[in-house]
Amino acid sequence: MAWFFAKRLVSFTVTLALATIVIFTMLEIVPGDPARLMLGINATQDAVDALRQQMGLDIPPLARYFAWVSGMLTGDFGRSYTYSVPVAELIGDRLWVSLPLAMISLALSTLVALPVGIAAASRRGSAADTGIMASTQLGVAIPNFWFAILLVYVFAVTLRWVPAGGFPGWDKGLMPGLTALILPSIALALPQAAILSRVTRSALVEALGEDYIRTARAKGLGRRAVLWRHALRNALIPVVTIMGLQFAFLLAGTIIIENVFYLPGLGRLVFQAITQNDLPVVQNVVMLLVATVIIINFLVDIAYALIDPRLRKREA
Amino acid sequence: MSLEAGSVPDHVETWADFRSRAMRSRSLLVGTILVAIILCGALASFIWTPFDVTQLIIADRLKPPSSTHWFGTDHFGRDIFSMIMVGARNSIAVAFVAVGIGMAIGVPLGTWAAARRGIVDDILMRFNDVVFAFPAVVSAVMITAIFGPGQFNAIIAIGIFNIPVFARVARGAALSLWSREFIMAAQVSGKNAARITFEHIIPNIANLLMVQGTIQFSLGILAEAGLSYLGLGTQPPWPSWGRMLNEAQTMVAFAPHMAVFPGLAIVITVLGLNLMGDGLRDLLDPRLRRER
Amino acid sequence: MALLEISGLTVTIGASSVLTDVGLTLERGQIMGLVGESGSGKSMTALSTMRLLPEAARLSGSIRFDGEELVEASEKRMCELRGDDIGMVFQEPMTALNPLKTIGEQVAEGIRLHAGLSPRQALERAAETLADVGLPQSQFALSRYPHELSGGQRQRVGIAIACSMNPKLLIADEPTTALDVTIQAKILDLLKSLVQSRNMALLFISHDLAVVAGMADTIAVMRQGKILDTGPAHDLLRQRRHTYTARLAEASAHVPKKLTPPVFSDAPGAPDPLLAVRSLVCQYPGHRKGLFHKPEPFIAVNSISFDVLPSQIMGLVGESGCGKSTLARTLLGLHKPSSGSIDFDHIDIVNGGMQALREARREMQIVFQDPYGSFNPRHRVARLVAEPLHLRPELSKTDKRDRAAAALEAVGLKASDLGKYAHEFSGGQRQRIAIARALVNQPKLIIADEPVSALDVSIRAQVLDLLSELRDRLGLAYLFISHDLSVVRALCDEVMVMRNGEIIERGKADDIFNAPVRKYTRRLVNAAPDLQRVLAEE
Repeated sequence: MAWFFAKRLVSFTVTLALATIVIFTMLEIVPGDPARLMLGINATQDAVDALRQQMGLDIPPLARYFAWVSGMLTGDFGRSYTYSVPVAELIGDRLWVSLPLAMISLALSTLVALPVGIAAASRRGSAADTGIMASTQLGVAIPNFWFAILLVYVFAVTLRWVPAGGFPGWDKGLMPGLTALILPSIALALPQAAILSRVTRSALVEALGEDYIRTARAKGLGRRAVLWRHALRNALIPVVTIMGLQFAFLLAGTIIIENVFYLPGLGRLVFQAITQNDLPVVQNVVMLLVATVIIINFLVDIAYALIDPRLRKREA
Repeated sequence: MSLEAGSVPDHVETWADFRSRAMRSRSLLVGTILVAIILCGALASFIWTPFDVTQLIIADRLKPPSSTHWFGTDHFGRDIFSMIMVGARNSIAVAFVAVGIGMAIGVPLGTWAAARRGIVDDILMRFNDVVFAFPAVVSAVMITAIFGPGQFNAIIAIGIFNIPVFARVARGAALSLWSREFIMAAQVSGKNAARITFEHIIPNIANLLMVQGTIQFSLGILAEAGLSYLGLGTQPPWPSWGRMLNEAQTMVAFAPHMAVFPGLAIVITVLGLNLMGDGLRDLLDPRLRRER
Repeated sequence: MALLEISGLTVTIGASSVLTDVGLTLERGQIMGLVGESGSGKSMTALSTMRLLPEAARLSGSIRFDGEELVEASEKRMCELRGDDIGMVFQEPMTALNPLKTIGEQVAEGIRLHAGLSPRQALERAAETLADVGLPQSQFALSRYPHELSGGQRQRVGIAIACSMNPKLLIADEPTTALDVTIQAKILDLLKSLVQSRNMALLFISHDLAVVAGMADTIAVMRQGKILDTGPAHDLLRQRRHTYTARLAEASAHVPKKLTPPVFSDAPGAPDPLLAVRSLVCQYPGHRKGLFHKPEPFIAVNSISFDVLPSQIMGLVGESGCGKSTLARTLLGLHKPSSGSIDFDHIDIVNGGMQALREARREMQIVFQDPYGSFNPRHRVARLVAEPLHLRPELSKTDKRDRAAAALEAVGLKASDLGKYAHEFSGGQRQRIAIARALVNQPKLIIADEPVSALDVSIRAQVLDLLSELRDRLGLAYLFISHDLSVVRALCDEVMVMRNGEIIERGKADDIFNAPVRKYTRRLVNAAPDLQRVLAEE
């Protein structure tokens, strides 16, 4: 187990390091002069020079890269150009919207998808199974932001149960905050739930066709018991993989959904930063999002080893 | 699987059998019809649309669906049906090119990694992991930050995201083929890795790539819609489904039809592609076939 | 009243009938062998008795177990019977156990279900059962996972699961087919002693007549879903009243006709060797044991030297994992050896570079084991057979086609088969196509890696005949690799026995089998099922 963990940790660190290089190259090397890019063609040379100095762009790239990485390790993400505050502060504020949003939708989609997938697999071939599969097929095809607009139309505009957008802030209490996140979470969770329930079903159906299921049946276990005791845990491996991948989509989804609902989260922050040419914010928020995806993948790898004893001993 | 189950005489299938099975596959049929409808609309828009999508007629603004304007009009009085037809072009073109980029780069990388193994494989797969950590929206955000918004960004961002997907699929399938005996027979016949890849590996993973291609195509449609909704994709005056939804959002209280139809167009396209992909997979995967 | 009485059992799946009017009777405490080639319906008969047929299967007739009609029994009743009164052992020990559960859990599960014991009591009973099948808790903790056990040990767990409740009837479906012969012998002994000590009846299913002959009191022979012949084991095998039984018995002890006198390396005036291997070592990079340990290489082939003479059939025998396949691959230049030399027809394969390898491969080809996996499913036979002609770029397209046609005819197929795909042929025919592919360059040596192991006995006999005939006609030499001693004995002139990467004994085929010197060889020879010997022992 320790060996497996160590190997994964190494590959995780390498991936993360490569990602920092990609982002740094894309945003600080490719544009040539980031300060010029941020200020526009019409800015005076003096203003550009001033900004270069302020952002530390006169230092050679390699030194700048290491300064950036070591800064991040100590929690220093540079200063936002438009807001003139540390980027870390901005991220800290906005994280409290994006993180709950992502967690609630992940929980929602998992809570819906697993039972649905299990129900469909245990009745495979039946009318219920066909019905469930057809509706998940539709669920996969619905873009989350369109679903969000329809939710707003029905529950905010027509029924007026919840606000159409905006976020009151957690300091106004838990309930107003959660109310503001209900529709966005549902909009994000629906397509994910549809995908996850399809994966759950097909992984279960595949596991149910394995030889060890026949062995278990020959022991005297009924169909139900075999599904719960033997197939489910074996089916978890593909399900966990997809859940890991989904988290990446979920993060990407938050960027869009936060813009639909005007939620002051990371997605909206980075979106506004592009329109204002605020490169330090773009760079660090993108880094944060990418790092999250890589961390989640790492955790998924560890989860494999917890589920499957074969991975603990030998190499994958 | 016991000897006996394995030796149920393998389905010797003729082209006629295959065709008749294809006709009976309901999801393939429905999927193809849905995709064909959208595709016809997109193609027709080159020569004819009910109304000119660049002409703004303020007097006709926000009209609900009627016999003149089948899907109603938007806040500039443009015909939504015509805009959806023209928008289909964008969506399909962006998704298609993005899938093409993914395949053109990902498949060679994946088959190369499988053929060489060792250090080449390790490096390519690590590279894959890195690229995989950049969802299309995140890449698009970066590209836009540097080059400004545009349709091209959407294509590149979605295309980049497709590369590791195809590389993984191609590598996995190729690796399992490389351990098969017919590949060893080809090696003993003096064929080198490149030749074996072209003669034996690629033709045998083509089915799988086609199925994955359909899935990525549908994801591409969704991603393009998302990006142009954010304004990071197709720019005005060209209509695109995502931007139409963005504009519809502010008017949803008094013109819900503006939001309904472009969304339905996306759903129909994606649903059609996914059904096609499912149908193709069932048709091409002999393992699933036996299960039925 | 017999314990198990099957009569008029008919099973259909869709439009095809799998079993037709099957009837058999098994008395308490007896062993019945159910023999047949693949597709004969042996497993289906077993699964019908367990009522574990695929869902699409339709079943009619009567299966009376201990006086109870099973065909009509409810699923609930069947769940009570399965694992309690009827236990079943399956063929594939590698996949028959749940990889995520410990062996203790898996054995205890059935005990808890049927005996209503607490988890702890059930685990204690499981430990006893595991000890009875040769896996004492002191060496094999209950907390082990299946992947931590060898194939034979896993099959013991499978037997423990089936026997944990002392069933009246044990069904074993090809329980040793996937195992090496020495392990097979141990598992067969275990089954016999369990059946005796616990007074169980055993329905033993196998494709191997020799194995069944050594086990069973009565035998039933199946073919194409029907029982053709049944009776007490020794009557049935000695008298061979039924032509199919006779054919099966003959095929399993088949010795191909040989016109060429055996070629021995110690014969006076022996020719120069065709293939000369000297001190060959092949290593694979091993797994790292820890961060600061250097990985220890795994030595698959350890300093092997041998010769193959022109027109000689050299046998190479060994159990799985002994390094014989690595050796074959290395000879063909698919794997680079760490040291040693391979000289083929005066070509240095190890150091000669690509050009030497190309030259050598024209004269040296291979036939693989799997008649299904050896062909690209998308190519027609013409292209499959002609593939090695890639080594002769000077040939025109029509030349290539003519040669492919000639090769096909040499193996008993027709030139008109060139336009077909591999999946249109049976397993035996596919193996003929594989031989044709090896022949198309008119080689001097064919490396045959388990070429008949996947084939039914009657087909196996035909392919062995073909190989022998081709040597007579074309003067071919073979390096014939197999785990099956009877096949090696029937075909080869000389034999090498391989174990743990080394050749531990070599000599003339008859000498090795009649008077093995090494203990391991003796064990191997004694463990190999042999119909003649079983009949002679009575």
